[in-house]
Amino acid sequence: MYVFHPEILKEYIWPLLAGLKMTVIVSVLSMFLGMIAGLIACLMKISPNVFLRVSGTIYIEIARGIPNLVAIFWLYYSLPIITGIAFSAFTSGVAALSLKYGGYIAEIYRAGIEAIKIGQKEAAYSIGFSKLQTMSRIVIPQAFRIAIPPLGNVFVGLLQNSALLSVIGVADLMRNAELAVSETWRPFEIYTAAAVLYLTLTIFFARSAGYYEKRIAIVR
Amino acid sequence: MGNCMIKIVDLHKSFGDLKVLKGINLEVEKGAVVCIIGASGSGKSTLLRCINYLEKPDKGKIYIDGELIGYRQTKGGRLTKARPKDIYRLRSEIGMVFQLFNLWPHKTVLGNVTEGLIIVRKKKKAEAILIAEKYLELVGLIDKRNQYPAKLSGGQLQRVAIARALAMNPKIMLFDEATSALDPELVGEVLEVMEKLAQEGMTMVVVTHEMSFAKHVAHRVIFLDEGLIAEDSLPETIFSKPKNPRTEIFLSRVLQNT
Repeated sequence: MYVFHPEILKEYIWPLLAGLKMTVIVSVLSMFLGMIAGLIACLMKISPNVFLRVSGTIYIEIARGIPNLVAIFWLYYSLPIITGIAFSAFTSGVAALSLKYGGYIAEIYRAGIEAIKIGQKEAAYSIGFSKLQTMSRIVIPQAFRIAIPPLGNVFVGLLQNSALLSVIGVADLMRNAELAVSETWRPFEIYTAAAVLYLTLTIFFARSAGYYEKRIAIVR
Repeated sequence: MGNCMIKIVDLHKSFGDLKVLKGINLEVEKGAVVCIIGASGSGKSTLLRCINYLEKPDKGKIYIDGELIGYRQTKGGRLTKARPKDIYRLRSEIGMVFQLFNLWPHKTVLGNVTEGLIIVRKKKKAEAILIAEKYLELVGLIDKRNQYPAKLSGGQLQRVAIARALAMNPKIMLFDEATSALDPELVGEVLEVMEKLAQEGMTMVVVTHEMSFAKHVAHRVIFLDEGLIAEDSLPETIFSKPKNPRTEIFLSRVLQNT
């Protein structure tokens, strides 16, 4: 019979909160870098240049087609072999998530860009905008607004999947929870606390995305 | 070329197998208001869009204020493809008004008008606002300056679009069925602005189905039929005794419906 000892959380809440902080750091950083990778990949994929278009497409296919866990292990173990440089678990973990999610984000951007009607661009061209100015001033600002809800979803998913980084030793919430369990053998209490913390985090960020979406929405 | 603002020589344009323009020759003098009429699919919009290079002609030459567009002379005197920046500059000197307004929904009325001044003309924001306000005043929408396009009626949107084009101080204004998407009761306010422009001596090429505008404001009316100019007459001529029987058939059909 399992006897509950929720009071052990008093002691272990601090490593869990430290882990939570790491989870937020790796997630926000990976999302930020993923948004940059996604933008580059998206612009490559819709470019008239064949080489850029094909490279962008290949990257997106690979990024979306490899399981998260495989990508994390692969970068962690293979990158030092290929480059001869040792990367920390943190660096290779963030790189893996950024590159993985960059693939999804690229397709979100592309959907946003393709939703902008051709007349929007023609109006810009007709007053003398270059292609680049049209893209940066007219198309991307509108496409970004369309992309916010799906980007919010992707981030909530990323936040949860960042728990996978615990397998290569990133001291995130999941990793610190596992350590606490191995010390105390109190899996019920500790994993419940971890679950509640993850849930709090995802709800917080989903709500923030919703708020941001409303704040910068185009007046309809 | 002197007084000639637009000169089009043997212009051809196809989309795939579809030949839309089959050899257009046209001259528009400075300050002239030319209406282009014709059935849908006759090439009216394509002709207009070739003038500011939104469509690239397959063959033929277009001169704007004496300058051949789409080409440049190399040092050896040969003609070669124009640089993008020359095309951008050319477009900034030609205003265009679209059937579906194409205002930018993420910018206010004022933002729509100042955008080109700031980005293309490199004006300071304060100066751009002053210019924009002048043109919003002209189209009677200064009180809507801080509204977003979604809050405006079709007629108001189109007047803002006209102000946006005028703010660039263009040599020519092109109107591509500017009133076709409007509710009938809103057509008048847009035509009024266009008429005002015509009176101020703006060179205008107007693709329209508004026969009364063609009749009363245009200096010349051109009837486009299957990619060719079938008739180029004074409005009083074309509406009373057209030279081409096809014009007569088209006009009788159109005027019957109004």
